[in-house]
Amino acid sequence: MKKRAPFIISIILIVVSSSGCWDYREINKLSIVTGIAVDRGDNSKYKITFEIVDTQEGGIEKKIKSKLIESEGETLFDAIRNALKVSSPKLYLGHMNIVILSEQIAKEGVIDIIDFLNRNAEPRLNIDLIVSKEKTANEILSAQSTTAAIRSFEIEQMLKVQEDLSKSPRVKVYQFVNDLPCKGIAPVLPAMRVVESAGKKTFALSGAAVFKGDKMVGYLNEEESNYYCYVSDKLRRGLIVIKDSPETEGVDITLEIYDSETKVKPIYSDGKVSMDIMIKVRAALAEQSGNNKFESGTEILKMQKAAEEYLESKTAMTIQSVQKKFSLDIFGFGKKVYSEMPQLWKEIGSDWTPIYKEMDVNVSASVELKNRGLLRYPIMVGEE
Amino acid sequence: MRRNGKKDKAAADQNQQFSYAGIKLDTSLDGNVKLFQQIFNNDETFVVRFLENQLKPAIKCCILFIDGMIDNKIVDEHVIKPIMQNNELSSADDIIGSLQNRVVFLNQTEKTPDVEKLSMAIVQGDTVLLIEGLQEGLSLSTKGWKSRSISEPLSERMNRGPREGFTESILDNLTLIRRRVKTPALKMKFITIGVQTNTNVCICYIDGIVNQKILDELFRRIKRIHPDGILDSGYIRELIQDSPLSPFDTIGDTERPDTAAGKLLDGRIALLVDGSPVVLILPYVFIEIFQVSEDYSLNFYFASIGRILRVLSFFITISVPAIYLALVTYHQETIPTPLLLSISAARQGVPFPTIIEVGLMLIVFEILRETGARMPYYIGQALSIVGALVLGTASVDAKIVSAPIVIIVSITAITGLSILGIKSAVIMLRLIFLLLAAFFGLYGYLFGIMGLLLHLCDIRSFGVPYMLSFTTLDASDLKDTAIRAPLWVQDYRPKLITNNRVRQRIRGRRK
Repeated sequence: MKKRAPFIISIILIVVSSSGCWDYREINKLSIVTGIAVDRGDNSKYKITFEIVDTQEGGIEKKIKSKLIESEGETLFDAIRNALKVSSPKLYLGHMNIVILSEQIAKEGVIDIIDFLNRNAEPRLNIDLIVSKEKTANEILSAQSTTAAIRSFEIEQMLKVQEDLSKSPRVKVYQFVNDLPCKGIAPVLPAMRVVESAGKKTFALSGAAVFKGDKMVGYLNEEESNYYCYVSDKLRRGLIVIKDSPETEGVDITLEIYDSETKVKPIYSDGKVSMDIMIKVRAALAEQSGNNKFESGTEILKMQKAAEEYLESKTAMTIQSVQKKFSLDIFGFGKKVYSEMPQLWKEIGSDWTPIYKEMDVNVSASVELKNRGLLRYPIMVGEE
Repeated sequence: MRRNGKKDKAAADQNQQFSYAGIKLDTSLDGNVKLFQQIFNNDETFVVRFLENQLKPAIKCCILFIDGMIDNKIVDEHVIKPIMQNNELSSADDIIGSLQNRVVFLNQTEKTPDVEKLSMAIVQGDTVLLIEGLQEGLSLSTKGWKSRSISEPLSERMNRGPREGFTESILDNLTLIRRRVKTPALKMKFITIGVQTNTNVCICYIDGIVNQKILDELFRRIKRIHPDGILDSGYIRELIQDSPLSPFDTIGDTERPDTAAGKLLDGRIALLVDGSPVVLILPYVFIEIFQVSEDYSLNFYFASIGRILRVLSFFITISVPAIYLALVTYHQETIPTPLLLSISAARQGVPFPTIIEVGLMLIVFEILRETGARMPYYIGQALSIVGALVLGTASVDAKIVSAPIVIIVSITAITGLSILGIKSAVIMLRLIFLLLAAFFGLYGYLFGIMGLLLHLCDIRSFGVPYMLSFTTLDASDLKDTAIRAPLWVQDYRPKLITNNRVRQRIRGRRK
């Protein structure tokens, strides 16, 4: 016992002095950053707008507000550290939710920003990346929020719930990083702009931005973005709105998608690559105009067929327009070829863009109608 | 003590009073009485009463006793009266034999010439009868003193179950056990411990179920201790338990005879100490901290939920302050953002670092608890009002501590109160974990947990591993652990504790 005591004490001393967590900091000494907007600076390379949480002192009811801080620097981290000049507590990036990139930054390349977000220990890899369609990213972050007190939380929430809409993709940093080095797929980010809504300037999602490497080349509009979600199997829920279809005798029909699955299969025949896209959707009738009874099996089949044709034509159109407009493989067709026909990819991979541009795509959709909501029969309008 | 034994012995020799060891009675009554008066000199409760038979005054006797230790009525009615009024006695007879067999109306008498034995009998409340011309004395069992009536033990209250509790009288306590376990196999062995107090200690077990090796070890340890006095069973526990420096007790205790009987049926040994209502139970393993005898009288689902909650409470009460501290000061990224914001808002304007906050509030709570435990009950209300104000709203409003700390300390306190059986270990572990978390974050806390587990797996109680049913792979050992399986499947007693594992051969299940 006597001999063991100094031994044990020395072990404890070594453990105490050479290990453990070292970054002790009190929680109220942190400026919690919820989101940043990255712009080109007036004098230096970057101008960053931080949204930080303002936990106000005093009073029993503690209200949480958001505050904006601006700072400039030659690199992203330089700008973040320069923020110490305007904000006394150190900025804490561990709870940052969104990074908004200005159009100019996106067009000139984002690799240094992505590098910082991955290299630094504080920012998480599940930060949402967004491209601003306005002149500066600052405008998005300084627009008024409608519900939440903190704009970044509202933007993140918007990205989350718009899965019910599927008109913009949701891309996190790690997903963007995964797509960046891949050949045969071009990264896409959601885009935002400022809109007027009920007299207030607020931010809204607006389609998607298409990247070639780390540089943005153009935008997809909302419809294109929607069908991009179908093809790249990112669609969870959403609506199919069919207007003036001959199959439904001119009745407008809205279907609500329960779930959707898309399979892309590359086909190689006669020295040509083509893609087979199979979209499988389970949906329900959510709304109809007119009082047609979609009651019997054949009528429901008709409705399904209308939806299928609608999906097929729209998807094919979107793919064609993307092929022409950008000649960028945002759908990841090349990646499919690479993973399913690696031998073929070795031959044609280096020359993929022209092949992609001329490639034929067959879209086949199958829509399965699960129910007609709570109404079995449509509401009849009597004629007096 | 052990190191300078020689010195002690020399000192003891010097201080020794009048030694009467080995002295035998004389034929002279007066001489014998003088001897006893010398032994009990300066003790004015010592009573000497000379008696003569009314018919044969030649037969001279004397009774010696201590006032207050005897039952006056018994001595008057069953000793003095028959000796004075008996008309059959003759000096030719074997007087002491006929007194013993025909005259005194008492159930326990003993004939001995040994002065030491007789003086011991006197101090224990017996009456000693000396007769002129005889070298033997008679000790008569006339013990009688006031003892507390049997009541429900306050420390182990129960909603459903027997309401009896042990008292300070060892014989009453043994009766309470015997009434529940009516078998001749229930053995009770007495040992006297305490150089000055001569306290009766009883070792109680059921023959055939008890593990003989544990019993032998217990006797060996009991015989090795020579304390000055034993005033409560806690003295013996501290002197004989394994791992005495551990904050965990390796000998359990109870104030309930039904709990004691249940433990005896497991093959455990009960150790009763005269003057203490707390009965020691051994061997004692970790899971018993969380078991209460009410578990067995309640529906087994409900009993299992209660047990799981108690185990959970143990982990919560030692961990919550440490985890909170680690998360708030080191690992802010692990806190959900809205919670982080509200903690941050609550901490605005609080002058102390979080460790001081947590430490301060825990100390305030422990002071309140300690005060409440020692205080006359009529001041209790004042304490709870002031305590609630100090711990609650006032300190938050005054920005001395932040609101989350109040929640953390409350959770810690409430869960701590649900397992009072190990409060010493809980307070120590809570403090150690808190300091580890303050210096090393979650990493330190995890090391603390690892150390705790190593320690628990290391200690034993009379050869039985402390974590007995946690390390087993045998399903039958798990039936009475964190869950309490139905009684009809509990066919076996816990292993290692007993020699005879089969509890029931025929299943008690209803057809």
